Amino acid sequence: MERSDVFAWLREFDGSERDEIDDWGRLSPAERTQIERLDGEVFGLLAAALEPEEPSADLKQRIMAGARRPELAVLTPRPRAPRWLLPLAAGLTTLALGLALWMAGTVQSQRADLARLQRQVDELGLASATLETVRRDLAAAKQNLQLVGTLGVEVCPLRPTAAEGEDAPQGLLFLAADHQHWYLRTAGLEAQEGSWYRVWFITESGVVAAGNLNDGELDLGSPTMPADTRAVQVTLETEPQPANPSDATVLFGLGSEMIRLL
Amino acid sequence: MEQELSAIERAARDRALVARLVGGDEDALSELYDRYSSMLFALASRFVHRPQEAEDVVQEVLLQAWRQVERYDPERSSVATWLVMMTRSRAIDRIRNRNVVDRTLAAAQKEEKRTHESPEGGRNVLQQERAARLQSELALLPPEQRRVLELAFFSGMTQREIAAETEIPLGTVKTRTLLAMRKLRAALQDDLGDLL
Repeated sequence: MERSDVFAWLREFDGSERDEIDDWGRLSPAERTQIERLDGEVFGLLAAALEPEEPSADLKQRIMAGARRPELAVLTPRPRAPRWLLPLAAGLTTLALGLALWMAGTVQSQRADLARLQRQVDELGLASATLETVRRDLAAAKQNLQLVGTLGVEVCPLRPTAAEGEDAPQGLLFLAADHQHWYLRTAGLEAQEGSWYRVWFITESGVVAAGNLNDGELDLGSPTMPADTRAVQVTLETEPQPANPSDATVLFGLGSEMIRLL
Repeated sequence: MEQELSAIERAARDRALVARLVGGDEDALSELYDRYSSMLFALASRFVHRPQEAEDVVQEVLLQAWRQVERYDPERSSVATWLVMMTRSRAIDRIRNRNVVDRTLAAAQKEEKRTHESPEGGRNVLQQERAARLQSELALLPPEQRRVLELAFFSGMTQREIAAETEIPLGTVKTRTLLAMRKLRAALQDDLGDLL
């Protein structure tokens, strides 16, 4: 039976059983309905026989956030009880191994970027404007590489919202020990004409745009992260700078799944 | 000031709250939480025995109430009973969906002392009064009647399952349940009146 329907529970009793206790056969339909309704309330009232217990202080906040933004309703980051340690540790070990391999690839890729940029800087004959752009890119790449290898860096995997597979997009959000400086590296996001991959941080108070992965660029970083960030998502937008994300989420990562690698 | 409201005022306020939920009023959800979260949390805890999981149940129920408030039928039950039955249903679903390892852990944890004490345990005087009244009424029931009622409500068993569990004929189980319901119905008239 559908357990949330109190009347389903009451239907377990037929008229003859009711006759014995409530003189059911002599009652009018209205009286029967009234008694069924009262019994339903008695059944429901049994919950009130329990001593009230207050849930944790942040439950209300989570519920209100979930009402405003449905995706926040699933975000309940909190420490696991000790009984979860073993299975959790096993899961994290697998995840860490995967992340370590991915990070190795990321570092290697960034080192290649750095070498390329350095070669460009070293080449004489670059126009000054171009040289300035290259220098900026070089500084950003160095900063990101430094972040990826920093002691205390935490990593949040971004998973595809569509079907997973070898070709599915993926991402890693690196967060420095200061919990401010972040760097997002993605893979498998194919550039599409007239569309932009936009990065969003989901916070307690709403969604904050973090920038676009434009022109085939697969990474993005910044020295600041919004307060109370709970999750990060990448959406595919049809406008370059929408104020709010569309429903076209391609990658999603929960802050509660963040792990420390170094 | 919950305890200063009459029963009729409380029932009217619940109905008004539902009307505001239908209109998408977030403050109404906040009030619904303030009014019922401690009772629903206690109920969910009774089933799942894990404070964090009990909070998840309460969160699911209140967000379902927020999103599907149009499903509430005032002709069928009070707001309180609607929320209670949803909580009971979600909690039972969670228990039944646990794998064997989780069930073993939950059983072991039943005896653990509850550590999730409320910092504001004495805040809701009305709920405490109602809890005390119900506890005393339940205590007045013959043990065999109280047992079948508690099995039906807190374990989610059908009458047939209770009969199998207690090795009592099905007819006897039903009779005991109905007798218990009739006594409670008579004893709790005042409480029930304000819910309808």
